[in-house]
Amino acid sequence: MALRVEGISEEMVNNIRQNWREVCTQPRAYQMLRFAEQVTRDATQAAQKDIEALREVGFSDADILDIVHVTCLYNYLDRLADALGVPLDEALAGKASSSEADAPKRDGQVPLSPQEVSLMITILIVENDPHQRLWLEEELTDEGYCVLTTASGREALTLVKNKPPDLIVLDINPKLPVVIHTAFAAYHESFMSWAADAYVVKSSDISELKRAIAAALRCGSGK
Amino acid sequence: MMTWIQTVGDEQASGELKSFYDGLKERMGFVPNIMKASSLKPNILKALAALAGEVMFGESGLSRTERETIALVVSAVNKCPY
Repeated sequence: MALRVEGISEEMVNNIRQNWREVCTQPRAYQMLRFAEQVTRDATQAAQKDIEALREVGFSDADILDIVHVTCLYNYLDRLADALGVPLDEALAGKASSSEADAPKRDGQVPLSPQEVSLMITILIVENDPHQRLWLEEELTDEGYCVLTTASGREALTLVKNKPPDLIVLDINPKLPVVIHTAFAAYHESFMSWAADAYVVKSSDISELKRAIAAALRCGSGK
Repeated sequence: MMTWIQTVGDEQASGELKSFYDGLKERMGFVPNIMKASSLKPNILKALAALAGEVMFGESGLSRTERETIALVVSAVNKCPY
């Protein structure tokens, strides 16, 4: 089926058609498209481990069902078009998408639209408030990002270890002392260190780190 | 180039099929040939359109872009020229 997707340039459509594996590299999109390709090539070879792989990157079982429905729908429509020799629609043939026509070009390159960029970006939300978590998930999903969520810091660490996201949105707990221990002295005055109780630049002498830990624990116990 | 079986064109459509075509024109600006291909069976056509509408535009944890991207990959694997 020829497609014109709002917000996705003709160039991106062609890139996906030619080799989606090189274009859609972020884990959620990759696993989703890998599964759709496998079902299309030979659904009998789709295995339970492929479903598990989809769950691991954040798809619910309802989402997985939706992936199967979209995949099967387009397999059906493609077979229908092939079997009946359905010609291309004149209204679509050769017509660039409006986003491509309108988008500014830099150095001869067509810039990626937000939707295209978001196909490659995964955001992990770590938020223990279920209402905040759902609200952020819905808003950022609407923006086109692939959003993973967890209420638990422990699960967040597992997710980051398995499939590192491109960005993490997380709350801080002012009751929990934090000491930043880093090789990057330049961030000492950065906003990134504001939430911490101490900022210690790595050194072979860890006496400063020990003092910072003791001080942070004293302050923490007094909070 | 025409579909290999008879189809009902925009001008020939009447009754429910015309209403269906009019709805497509309103939403998409034209009646896709893939829809016209099933026009001899209006009930199947309407059921197919309802299914496609729900799968592609209905409430889902998948974004519109994700759903369209799946469709792109499926059609690329199938080497479907349509």
